[in-house]
Amino acid sequence: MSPSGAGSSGITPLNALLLIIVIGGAVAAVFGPQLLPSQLAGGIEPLALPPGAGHLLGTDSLGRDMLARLLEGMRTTLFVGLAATLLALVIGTLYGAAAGLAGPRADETMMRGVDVALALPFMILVILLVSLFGRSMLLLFIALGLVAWLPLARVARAGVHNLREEPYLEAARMMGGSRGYVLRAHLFPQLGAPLAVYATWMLPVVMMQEAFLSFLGLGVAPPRASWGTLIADGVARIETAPWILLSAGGSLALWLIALHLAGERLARRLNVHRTTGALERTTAAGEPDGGEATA
Amino acid sequence: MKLLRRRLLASLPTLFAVITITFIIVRAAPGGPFRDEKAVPEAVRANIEARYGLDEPLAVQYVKFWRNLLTGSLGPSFQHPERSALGVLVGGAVPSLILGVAAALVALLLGLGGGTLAALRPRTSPPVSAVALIALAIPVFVLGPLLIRLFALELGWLPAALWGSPRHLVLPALTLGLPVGGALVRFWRTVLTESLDAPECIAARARGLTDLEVVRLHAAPRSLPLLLNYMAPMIAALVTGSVVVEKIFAVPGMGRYFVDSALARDYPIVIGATLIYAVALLVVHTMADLAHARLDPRLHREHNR
Amino acid sequence: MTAGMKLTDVRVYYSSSEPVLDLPILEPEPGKITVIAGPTGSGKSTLGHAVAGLLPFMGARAVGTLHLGEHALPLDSAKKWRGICGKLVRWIPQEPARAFTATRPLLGQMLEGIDDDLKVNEQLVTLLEVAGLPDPPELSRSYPFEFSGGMLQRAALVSAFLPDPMIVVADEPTAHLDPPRSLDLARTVTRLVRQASVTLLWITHDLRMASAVADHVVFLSEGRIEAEGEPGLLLDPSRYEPLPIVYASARLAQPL
Repeated sequence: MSPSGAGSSGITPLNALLLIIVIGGAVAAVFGPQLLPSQLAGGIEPLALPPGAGHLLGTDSLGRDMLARLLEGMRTTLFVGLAATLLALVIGTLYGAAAGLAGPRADETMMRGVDVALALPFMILVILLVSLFGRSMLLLFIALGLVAWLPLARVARAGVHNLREEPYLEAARMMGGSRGYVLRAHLFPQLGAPLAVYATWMLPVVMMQEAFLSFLGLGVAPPRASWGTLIADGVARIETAPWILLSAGGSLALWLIALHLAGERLARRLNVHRTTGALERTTAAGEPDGGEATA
Repeated sequence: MKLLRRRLLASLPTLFAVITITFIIVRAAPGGPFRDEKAVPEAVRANIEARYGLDEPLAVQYVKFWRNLLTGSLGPSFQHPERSALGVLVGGAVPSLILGVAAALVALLLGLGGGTLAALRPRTSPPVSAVALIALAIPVFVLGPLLIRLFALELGWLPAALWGSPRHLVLPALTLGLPVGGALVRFWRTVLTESLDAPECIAARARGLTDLEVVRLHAAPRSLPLLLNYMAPMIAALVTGSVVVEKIFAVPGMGRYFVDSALARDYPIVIGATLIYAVALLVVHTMADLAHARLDPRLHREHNR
Repeated sequence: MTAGMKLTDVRVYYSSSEPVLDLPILEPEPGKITVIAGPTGSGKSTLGHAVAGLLPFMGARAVGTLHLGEHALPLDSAKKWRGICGKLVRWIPQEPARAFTATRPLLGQMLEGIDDDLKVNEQLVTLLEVAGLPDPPELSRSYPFEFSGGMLQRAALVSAFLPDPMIVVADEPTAHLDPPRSLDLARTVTRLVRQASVTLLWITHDLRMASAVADHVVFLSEGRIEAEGEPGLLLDPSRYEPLPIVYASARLAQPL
């Protein structure tokens, strides 16, 4: 009794709000730091100032404007998140599609590999990697991307596997389309929806992971800011300067919630339903049409 | 029991992979445990490294490591040479385990309870979902300090950090368990709702069972395999989160040692901790699979009438 | 137990604004078998759900009342049906294989919702014998997946007559059975109904079978009662244009 329905009920107020938060936040993060350079507040002793005159969100412990720092931090975390998600998408799709198109034995081996890899305590290994190899944004998003691609490969493989059987692909082939053409014109568009949805779900997770690592001191190094480092700063000063944690932590929480919700709504719009394992795309009539859950 | 043996055997390659990967990563990393110390003369440093066997070729170190491992030792901790790495880790494992179990209980209670409520009373579903979403989207390292601020600093009901009494367990367990519980709520709600629509459950209702009875006797048992599948990622999430929670609340657990040791290049501890985490995950996986097999009578009744 | 039942002002909606079922009144004769017949989509299963009090769980919106003895039960309220659903009204689902949860023992499920153990045991033994099923100890050890569809159908049937319902709704009980078994089941049911003096609603699209068991027939089409009356009604081709194929092969059934 799930409410599918390719329905667009237009833009509801909540959807509008979500769009504003998500897009607005992204724009602010990308362009903000240019407009609001975070210089020191001046004066001999840099102090943490509460919200007030001149500083909308107060200043951090080194006297830099909180809002500016926040925008910079958002930018870092967002960048890492996007890069990692993109990396994961590329690797995952290629691997999964390859497995789906390959013969049964290769398919089986490749996916068993993924399953085994998923059983490993990956975040632990990521923490390991990052703590040992030093703090750099490059390493960060590569490491996170390498963790994130595994479930994506499952989705891609399931999608390809199912679509293989579709009669219209046979028809396309018989009409003279080469394998490449069939892939490009038919397979990928169908895969697009579940993958897009998965990516929108993946992004907040990866961003949270980046913030997590930065919080532990394993992410980007100062003076570069990341949402995580700002929050760490806030935690340290929770008694004396609570506004740091509130603005940094609150904004991250808000952002993640907005992304999650937006991802859900997108999923509903595109008729992708989260079944027991992977993602399934159903047509308006409710029949499965794309990737299916693999056991 | 045959199944148990089979699963254990299947896990060995994974364990092997974990150990090897960890070893490679750790040794491939630049820097060594003693390089960052304040000015130590080259000769002295070489000496110390030799003593720990760090100057030998990697392959040799790898073999030696395995030999030690199989006799049950991880070697001494580099940071605290007087203590064995294994000893340090085991000491830390206890608080981590307690915290983990407590957090898992929180997550299960809230997750299953909330999910069941939302499934049985669809009108409560939107608010429950919303709260669950907030719970799961707030990062642990934001939630923790906020809880500390509220319950420890402002209200003074609970201790802010450290370890020692059951009261110290409350905030860390809540911090770790709430986000996982939030995710579980939404999962269980979806699963249970679908299960309740099945013909078997309708038939059960027709026999006069109440909501809770239908859930307990029919809908939940049918959904159990899915829940068991969910356990493994759930535990993984708890493990990951615990690293940060232990830091925030100064819990003397494995997570705290792990990060510090990684930064200090204390290889035995780092490898040991990774191993323990990997083993824990594999154990959970295996138990879930076993439970699955136990609970489904179809898998052990062969005859048909 | 015999008592009167009456459905009034029933209108059931699923997702569209057209009612799936629209019955101003339906009053089956107590203690008799009333067949609800009609083509697919005529709303007969919905009628079965309505009488069994299951509409709230099917995602339907409904208005109307079931009058049972001195009870007046609104069709859209699960709460008011507590104590009635499963006690005074029992329901046999369409798909026997999915009437019981596969992973729990069968007997336990058959006895669900029944409080009075002592009274039931004797009855159970008799019913099981009549239905040709194994005895209670064996049933309590067995799981639904170990039985054939036909046996499960009979188990559901037995379960429906416990302990002492006023009304039993059977939703296409012979749909998954071959003709000899169908006839067997029909005989069993008739026997049970007479024995327990239960009002039985037999929902089917198998008109031949229906005419064999019916004391009374209600013919539904597109959610409305098109005709009511004697069993012979079912076999009168001139009344029913939509079903020429069925009537082409209809034969008078053997008297039971």
